[in-house]
Amino acid sequence: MTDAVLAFAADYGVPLLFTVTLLSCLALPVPSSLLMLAAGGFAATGDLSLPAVAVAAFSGAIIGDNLGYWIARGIGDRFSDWLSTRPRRAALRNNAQGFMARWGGVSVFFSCWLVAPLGPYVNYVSGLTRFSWTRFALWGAAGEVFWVGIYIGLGYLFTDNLTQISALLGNLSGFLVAAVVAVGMGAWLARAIKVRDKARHRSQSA
Amino acid sequence: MPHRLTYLWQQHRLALLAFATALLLTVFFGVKSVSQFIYWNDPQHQDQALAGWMTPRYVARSYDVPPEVVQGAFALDAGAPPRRISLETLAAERGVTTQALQLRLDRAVAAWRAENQKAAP
Repeated sequence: MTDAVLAFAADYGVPLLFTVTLLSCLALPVPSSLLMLAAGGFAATGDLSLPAVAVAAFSGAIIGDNLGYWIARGIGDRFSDWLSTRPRRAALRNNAQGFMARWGGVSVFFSCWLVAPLGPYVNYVSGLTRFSWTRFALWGAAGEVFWVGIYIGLGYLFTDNLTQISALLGNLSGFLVAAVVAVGMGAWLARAIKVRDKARHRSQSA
Repeated sequence: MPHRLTYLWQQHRLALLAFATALLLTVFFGVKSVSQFIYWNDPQHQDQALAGWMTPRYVARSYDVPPEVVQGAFALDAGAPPRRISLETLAAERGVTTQALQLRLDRAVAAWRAENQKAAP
């Protein structure tokens, strides 16, 4: 699998990199991190041009992010009546909106690179909740600088060990994503308990 | 504490299961990352074997020889501008196997190293 992707990277180079980074920002399962590492490696050997690689990956990521945002925003607008018909659905959306108002920028920024597998979903939530597009675009662009810079940079530095560095980064990324999800779910459960304890207290004192 | 768990199990089962799964995955990927890092830190495991996806220039870098040595081994036109192509595609174009390319490369690299008094890695 890894070898097949690397062979594609060697034969199709920059256009492939652009397409794959774009698609991966829409949550399609394409090996964007491996391709960026490979492109960095091939830039180090002189098979690809480093500026071309950087521009292709960065513009692919930015276009993909914003495409995801606007698709979700369009869908959200179209189904806004449906979303508000049921109290549970409406509450879910309002909660998401509240979360984005407080943590939107930071979430967009870190989900672009540190926990990149979550990125596309944060883009969709941003669009659905009508999070400010200017803020989304600016935080997203800042995050993509890190995503593209780290992967292409590591590929460039560790040219001789592309397959190993790719496997190591895959595991590290899995670790970070699982940890962030665990903390998020933990906080949510803790809040559920707090809400219940308060309700109990009230009923006891009443 | 146990009655809280019971409450979560009864009222928020999905969320509780998701939380437990995320915890397990955190440990799993954490252990994998560390063990892989240790493995990779051993210099014995740092050499990368020749593979079909590599380009001639990548091979030259990986084997630590000048690009001309690889060009000669694969009978690439030295005058032409360097071309990005994977060994697999190159072999297919020539109608030979990648092993045949590997053999030619090994010979050329050995010859170059002998000439330049360079010890094999």
